[in-house]
Amino acid sequence: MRVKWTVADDVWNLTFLLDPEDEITGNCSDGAALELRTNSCQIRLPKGATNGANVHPDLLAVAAWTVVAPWTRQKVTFDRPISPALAEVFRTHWNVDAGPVGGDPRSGTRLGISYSGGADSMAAADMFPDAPFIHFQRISHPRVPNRWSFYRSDVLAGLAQETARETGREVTTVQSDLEFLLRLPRPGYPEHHAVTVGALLLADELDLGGIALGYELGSRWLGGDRYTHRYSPDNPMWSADGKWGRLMSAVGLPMVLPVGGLSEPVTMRIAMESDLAPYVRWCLRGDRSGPCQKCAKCLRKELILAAVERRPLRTALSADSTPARKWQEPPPYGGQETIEYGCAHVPGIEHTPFAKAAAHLQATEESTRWLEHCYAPAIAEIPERWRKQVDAYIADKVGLMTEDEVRRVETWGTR
Amino acid sequence: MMRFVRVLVPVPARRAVRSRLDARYVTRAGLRESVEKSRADLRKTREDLRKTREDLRQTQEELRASVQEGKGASQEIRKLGQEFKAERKKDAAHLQDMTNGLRQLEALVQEVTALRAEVRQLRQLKTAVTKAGEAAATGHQLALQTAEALDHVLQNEARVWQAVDGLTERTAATDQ
Repeated sequence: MRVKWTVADDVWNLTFLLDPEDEITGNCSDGAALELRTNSCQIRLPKGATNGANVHPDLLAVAAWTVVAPWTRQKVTFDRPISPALAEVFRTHWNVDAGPVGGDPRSGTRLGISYSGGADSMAAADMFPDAPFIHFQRISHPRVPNRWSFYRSDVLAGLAQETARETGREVTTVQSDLEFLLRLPRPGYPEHHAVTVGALLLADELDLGGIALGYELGSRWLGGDRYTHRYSPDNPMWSADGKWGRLMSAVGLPMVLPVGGLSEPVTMRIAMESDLAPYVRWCLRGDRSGPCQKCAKCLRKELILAAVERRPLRTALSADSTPARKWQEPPPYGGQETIEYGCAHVPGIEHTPFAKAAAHLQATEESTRWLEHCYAPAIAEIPERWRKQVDAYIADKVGLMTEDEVRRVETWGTR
Repeated sequence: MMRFVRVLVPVPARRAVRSRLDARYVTRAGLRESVEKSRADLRKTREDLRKTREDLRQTQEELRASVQEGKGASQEIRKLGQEFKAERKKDAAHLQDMTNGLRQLEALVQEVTALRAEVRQLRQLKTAVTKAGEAAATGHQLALQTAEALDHVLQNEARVWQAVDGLTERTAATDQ
């Protein structure tokens, strides 16, 4: 793979060319099969955000890698030399020959937050009241007709700006069309870490020394969502020692998962109690007036919210609606621990689209109590300079899991 | 002489004359008869008078009753007159109502005509919308197919550059 960056007026264009052994099919680090559509994308930083083209080559290399990794088989050639340490991580953790090599590694001091505006990143933001937000906004690709215009990234970006105005938080919105590089399964990040391209390109300007993400217990430790349904200490995306963890650390931007030990019900509770709560939005389809209340994500988040508030589910969706379809099938489900918690805590669950799932799962308040506490190894994984703050916050607002509860995490998916 | 006359004058005439001559000579009995007859006449007259008075009184009463009746009648007439006036007023209102009703009817007729026209227009529009819907569905399908096709063109472009680069490398290697 050969990678080339060009920049003009804070718009960074990435073009990549496939080596003979490369292919337009590949896999995301989580194992999902992907297909490439085209080989260029752009990243638009706010006007005057950077001092021209002076972005550290390591940052540019990793930003490019979040887009080209699935298609690269053996070798990646960047358009400017990367530090030996970074090249070494490519070799040891990726089995990829990366170059040219030369130059010094970079470092920074501040923690930036990759902020989507959803409950998880909002909970992470609540732990670090002074950390700047970097918000990724999807824009259309000039070569790809946008058939997914129901995705209202403009609304989410608007909310991020409103958050900045109303709360005084430092918010930088970075726009990119890189999601349209994926033909299959649909537009999205080729690697999950592509969401950090803005933070990577702005790291020098913002003096970032770490990037916080809202990945929670399920994503980090329970192999949730698209990943395998098992305890995943070796998670290739989010563990500090995994291939991505090491890569990000090598460019002076280690990943920080402040809510990595917390379940979704807990991040939801924290988000709802935070001063950012009025600006929370997990729905990708709703307009300025509010979430759509009709999509699968709204339904799932409503289950969590109802569980946290110990109230009946408020939804107009029926069991036979498309968004509710997967809850009519038997488990396993992605993020199943959250569904168990919801089914155990929502009164009258047997009259909701989750009735069948609840009958299958047979979860109780007792059997899901472990989800109300923090999995301590998640705190241990946080780089030391931010660990104390997370530790104190969790001791104050959540509390740690007992040994039995820890065992629930570590035997997840085996019983 | 009388005998003589008797001979010469026929019986009927003789009788007539004799009755005349008898009347001229009133006897006492005749007078008494006459007085009594007069008294009887007087009695009868008095009786008549009394009857007449009676009649008069009756008539007066009748008259009074009539007057009374007349008053009642006049009241009735007045009432009837008022009723008539009221009726006439009512009639006028009724007429106004009818006029208004007619106007409304006319308006309704116009409205119905307009509605009919609108229905006709909507029917045409529906046909147009159906046609547009079909066109949009076709357009949507074509857009999808075009986008899919474009995807392949873009993918092929990446592959072509990959091949070109591979060829260049091989050619360079051969040249050396």
